[in-house]
Amino acid sequence: MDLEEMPHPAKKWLRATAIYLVTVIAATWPFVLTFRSRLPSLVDPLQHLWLMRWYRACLLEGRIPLVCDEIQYPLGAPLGNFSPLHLQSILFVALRFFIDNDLLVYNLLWMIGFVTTGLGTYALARQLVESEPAALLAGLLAMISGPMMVHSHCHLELIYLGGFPLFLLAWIRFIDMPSAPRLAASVGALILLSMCAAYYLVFASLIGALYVAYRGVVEARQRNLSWLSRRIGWLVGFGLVCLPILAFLFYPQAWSVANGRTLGRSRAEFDFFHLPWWTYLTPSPGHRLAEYLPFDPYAAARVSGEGTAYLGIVSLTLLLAAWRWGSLVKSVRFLWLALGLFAVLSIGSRFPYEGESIGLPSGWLWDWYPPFRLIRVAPRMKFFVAVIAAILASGAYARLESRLPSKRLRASLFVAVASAAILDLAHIRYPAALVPPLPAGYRWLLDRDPDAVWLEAPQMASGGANEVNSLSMYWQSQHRGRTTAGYSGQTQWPLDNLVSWASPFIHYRLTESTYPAESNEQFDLVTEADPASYLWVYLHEHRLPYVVVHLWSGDGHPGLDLMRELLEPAKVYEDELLAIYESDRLPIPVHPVVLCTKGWKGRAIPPQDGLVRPIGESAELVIYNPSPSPNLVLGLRARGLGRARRVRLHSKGEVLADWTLPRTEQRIVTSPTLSLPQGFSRLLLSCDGSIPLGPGGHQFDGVGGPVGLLVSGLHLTDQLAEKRRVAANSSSNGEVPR
Amino acid sequence: MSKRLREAALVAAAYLACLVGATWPWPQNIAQQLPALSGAVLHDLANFEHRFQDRTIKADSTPASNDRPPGGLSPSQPLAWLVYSAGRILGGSPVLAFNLTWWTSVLGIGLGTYFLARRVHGNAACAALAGGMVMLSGPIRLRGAGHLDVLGLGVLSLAILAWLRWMEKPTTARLSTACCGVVGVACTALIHVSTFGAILILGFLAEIARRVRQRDLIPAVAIARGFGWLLISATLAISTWGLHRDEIQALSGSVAPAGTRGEYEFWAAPLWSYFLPAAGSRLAPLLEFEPFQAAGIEGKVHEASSYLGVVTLVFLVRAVLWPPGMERGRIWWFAFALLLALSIGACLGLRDHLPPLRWSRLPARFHLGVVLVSALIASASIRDWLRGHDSMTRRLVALVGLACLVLADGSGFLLSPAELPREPTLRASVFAPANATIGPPRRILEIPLADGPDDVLAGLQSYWNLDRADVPFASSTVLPRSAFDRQFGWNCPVRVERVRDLEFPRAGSFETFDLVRNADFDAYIWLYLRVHGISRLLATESVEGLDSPRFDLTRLRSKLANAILHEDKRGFVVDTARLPTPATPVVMTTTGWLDRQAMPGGGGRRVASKAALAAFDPEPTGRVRLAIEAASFRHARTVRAIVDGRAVATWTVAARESRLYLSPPFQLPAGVQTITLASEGEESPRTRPGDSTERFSLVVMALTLQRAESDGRVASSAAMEPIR
Repeated sequence: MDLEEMPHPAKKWLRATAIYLVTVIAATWPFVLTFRSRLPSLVDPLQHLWLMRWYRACLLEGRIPLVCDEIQYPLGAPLGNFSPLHLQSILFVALRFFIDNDLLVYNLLWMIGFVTTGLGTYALARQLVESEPAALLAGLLAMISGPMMVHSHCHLELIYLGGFPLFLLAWIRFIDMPSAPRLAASVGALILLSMCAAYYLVFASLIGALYVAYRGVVEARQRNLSWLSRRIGWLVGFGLVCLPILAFLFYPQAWSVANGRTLGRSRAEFDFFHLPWWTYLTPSPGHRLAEYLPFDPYAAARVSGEGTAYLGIVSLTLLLAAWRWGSLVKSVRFLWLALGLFAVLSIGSRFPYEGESIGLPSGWLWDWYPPFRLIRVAPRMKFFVAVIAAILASGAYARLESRLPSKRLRASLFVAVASAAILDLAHIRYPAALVPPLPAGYRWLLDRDPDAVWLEAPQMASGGANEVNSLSMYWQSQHRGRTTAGYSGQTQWPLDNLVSWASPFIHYRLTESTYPAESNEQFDLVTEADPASYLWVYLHEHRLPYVVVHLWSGDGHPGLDLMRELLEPAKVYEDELLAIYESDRLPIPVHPVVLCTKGWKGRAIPPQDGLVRPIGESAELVIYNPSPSPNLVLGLRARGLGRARRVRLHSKGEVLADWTLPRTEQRIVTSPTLSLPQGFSRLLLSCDGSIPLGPGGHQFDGVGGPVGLLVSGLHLTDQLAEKRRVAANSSSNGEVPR
Repeated sequence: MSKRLREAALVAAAYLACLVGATWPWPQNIAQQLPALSGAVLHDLANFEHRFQDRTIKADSTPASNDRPPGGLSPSQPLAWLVYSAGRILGGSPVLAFNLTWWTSVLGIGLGTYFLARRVHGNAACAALAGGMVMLSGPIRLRGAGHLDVLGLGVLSLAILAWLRWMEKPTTARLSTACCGVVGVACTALIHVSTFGAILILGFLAEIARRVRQRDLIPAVAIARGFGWLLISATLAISTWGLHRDEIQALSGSVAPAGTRGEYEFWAAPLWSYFLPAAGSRLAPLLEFEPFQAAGIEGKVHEASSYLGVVTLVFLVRAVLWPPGMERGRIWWFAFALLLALSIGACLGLRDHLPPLRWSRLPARFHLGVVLVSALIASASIRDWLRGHDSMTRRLVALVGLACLVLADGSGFLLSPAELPREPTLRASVFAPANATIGPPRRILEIPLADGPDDVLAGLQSYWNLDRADVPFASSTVLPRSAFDRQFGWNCPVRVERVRDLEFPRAGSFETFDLVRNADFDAYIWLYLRVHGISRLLATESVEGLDSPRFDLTRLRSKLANAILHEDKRGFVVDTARLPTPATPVVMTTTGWLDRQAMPGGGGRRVASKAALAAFDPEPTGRVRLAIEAASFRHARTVRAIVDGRAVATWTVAARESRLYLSPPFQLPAGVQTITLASEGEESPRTRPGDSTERFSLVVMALTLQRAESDGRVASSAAMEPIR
């Protein structure tokens, strides 16, 4: 189609919007029919919904959204640990005024994400490829590309990709010919992109720099050496305008890091995510063509959704044609360069090769380019690859189309190519999950005790992407009670270190069918503890008056049945979905219990130690003594880090025990007999120094700050009771007690 | 030395260097180590040495010798054998001579391709690269540990070259050369003959098409060419028949199961295997998964992996987009497509009607032709690509870069060099004539009875048994030993897969031997040895210097303890005369029992209209019952069990559905007796060309001989329960 034949701009955009809308509906059929009751999945979308509802609640209630103390009890959830969803939340709040259905609003936002991605790419393509159908096709190909379709199930922010082509368009225009309006447009586009997804801000900085470098080289070749110097001022100005806005937008993230609520992204996590190169060429599960593959390479290579990036047969064929016959796109060399760069970067930071790990450019960027340390999934650069590939493909399409003599043939070609792309890239019977309504148990509990605080079982760590965790937090946004549940994108290590790992309800223990044992169960570091006593102490120490057990999660958590038997005396409510227990109704412990509380760092698994929890220079132990017995003995299995460590056990300034633990091996030491009062006592375990951890890979994820001691076991015993028990056993066996 | 010869010498030296690098450190110990101790290598070595020593299979040396066609013993490899013999005549050890054959074969592949590619596109550097691409391609590297016959690909290239020269200028000299080339191809493997035949046909069709277009069918030159075509075709047919007659008969004859349709279907190469590097390729780790494993067909990776190499693939794609100029370019593209289709088994229907396609059990081997043709096309594309570079330096850098990539991609020859292990002392002593205590025996059954060409122990046994007058019940063959397996193999109580079972032999009557159920091991082995006149059992638990094979024969050793003549930690020898006479009735299959057939619920064996069972009852006055589970072929048949000329049971065996049939109680005379199963007629299962024509009447799933109780019921009513 010639430029002269193009319809009126408004009509064009309306037409493009309609085409993209129909395309998304077709590619995700029959999801649109269930927009009111279903979500693309039950994990991340529910977290997104909670966050957007939290923003809305703060707006309506006049609160500052920085920390939500209603979830992730007892510390509360810092906003900075979540994907910010700026733009999506603004739209949510606006739409929610008109539509009283969270799910419908979420799905409309989801649809907007898709369509704006198409429109953004369309806008860029219209500038770079002077063909309306080719531009339409570019938007369509980018919109339903493999990365978009895969992540549409989970990540609302990532499918707001339309900001990227808009930024690229504004940036190209700004760099080519700087002016104040173009500077404003670039700043606006970058901010918009950042509000779509924080990841894209980091990626955009790369493509922005690449374009400047590319143009710099081109101009230098033409001996236009002043080209760059004439733009330095503009670039500085761009930075100066953007930085304060970005600082405002991402203040919660900075706050979270500054307050130790998150440790930032670790290199181990960054290294973990990678994308096989062939995924760009290979249909992934869900695509029609995947069914015709002789085997499932994704399953064979154990590739997760983050590692899938199929571009589609149409994009790939047109890319091949673009390589062979050229692409009618402006700045085509830059686009090929960008495609190659992002494709390489998306592969990840390391590649395993015959037992060795080979460093890749992403890893080098992580080392040398600090903004890269803000992200954890380098393969998400595949989104930019999809857009650039779509633009290049549309250039090839424009060339092909230009050879067709009649308008009808050109229209037929467009329909055929677009249909092929939809058929290829559509997810067959797009899976969507039904969202269960708020269980009645929550209302019952809050009616009974409006200030109730409860533990949600199975209990997940703060980074636990799990239906129980997500649903619990979404339901929380409806009932507004205070709960331990809550899944943030970034793990809140202080919370998990304080309550999650030591919890008797932690989900990975509940997957054991024999958990908890009748007696002598291990809870985190604490060995041979009496389960009923430990449970009581844990709930009372953390001031959790209620436990809400999700009965519907039982299939994956067989240990929940045994745990419920322990809780049975405290049951106050039960229906098909929830059982509620009141802590105060549990029997008071008859065995002494020790519990790790403050100062204990994350769980780590160094090969020579097994499971350990490190401490810095001090950590708190809470001991519950059921009777005023002077016969308690505390056992500790640990080793020093860096050197042999002198470790002391204090209570109210008094040294109860003094040990020296070697550096080389885990050693068991026991305290003298402890005279502790009946009830709760707080002891301090101190260490005579600590060292910052070196690059320990994922072994020490979540272990922030210096470490002095690696503790692998804690044991508290009442010696007198133990002697009585042994004597009783011996006499029942006919032995003479010694 | 002419320029071309100098070039060729340079290229040969480069190939040699590449090959040394790709197979290092094997070349350090070339005189002592074989490329691998695989069944295929040992089989070829034994075969070459056997022929070199001019030995023949004696009719009385093995129970099944008459049924083991020489073609079944080994594919004819005259050319490789000639090289081997030259090595031996020059004083080399068998190992060195074998290695010489290996190296000349692989280098021959490179050089043959080089000469052909040079002819096809005229660029020496790219032709040299083409040779490297073929020499280091997946199918060649994966066959590094054996199959010397298919490594004769270089001869195929030279034959095509000679044919092309004749096509260009049909002189008598060139025609003679072409015919020599054809004979050369016939001297390699049948798969190369088939490949050459396919290219020849394509060339002929292309020639006809060209002449029709040019209206040039009449002139004298066309007549001369017509004669040439005939002569070349006749030479190919005659030399192939002369050199491979036995193999062709075994594969395409009516006797099943060699080269069955199902086998052909199974051994096709997956299309994706041309693109995905498999085990051995240095690029394989880039996939992050093993494709053959992912597809659940890791067992055929050595035969079906067809990876062309990244350079070949890239330039093949480029050739599709920018077709390069080549001599008779269309023939190469058509040949590429045809051979590709053949290799992936797409021409299964064609196989039914074209006997030459039945000359290979393994259609995947057509990928050797695909590798050759794709290298020709890709190297021509490389030549065009290099022409796009304006400076000589750039071209050189690009070429060296590509060569490095070819080498890096293809340097993973799947070799595991090892010395030929010495024969275990005990085993050697059994065959030593001077050892009066132990032997020499006439018939020896080796434990375990190894099976198939890929079995290392079978290969070693074949090699060790070369210079012995008495060939025991052990050897390795390339084609299935149909007659041997039917009569002696499948029903053997000490087959390799049975011996691998750590519970074997079980106490009591709980063993299954092929069709025979609930048999007592002591009774069954006694009968088996007695029927086949075997005087010694020779058990090999392990071989010094080899981690594998290794068998735990503790239970068997203790079971046979009373009859052991001599033993050490690696094996033992049993005097079969000392084995106790059975205490229970026992039966085994002997003649007339044909191949296995899959049936719903399990596998059975086809049975001819007359089949024999050997049976023994230790109490001649007692009564026994014979039970068989069987189905009749196509329609119901009357089956009689005859002992000593008297029918002891008559059944009407239903068609299709397998049922249990019990004889009335009957008496077996003393000693080993024959029970004949006589069925009413037999039919051929052939429904389409290529199917087996062997006639049969029944499919028997299981059988047993049990003592009859006084009440007339079979002693163990559940005796047939474990059949499925």
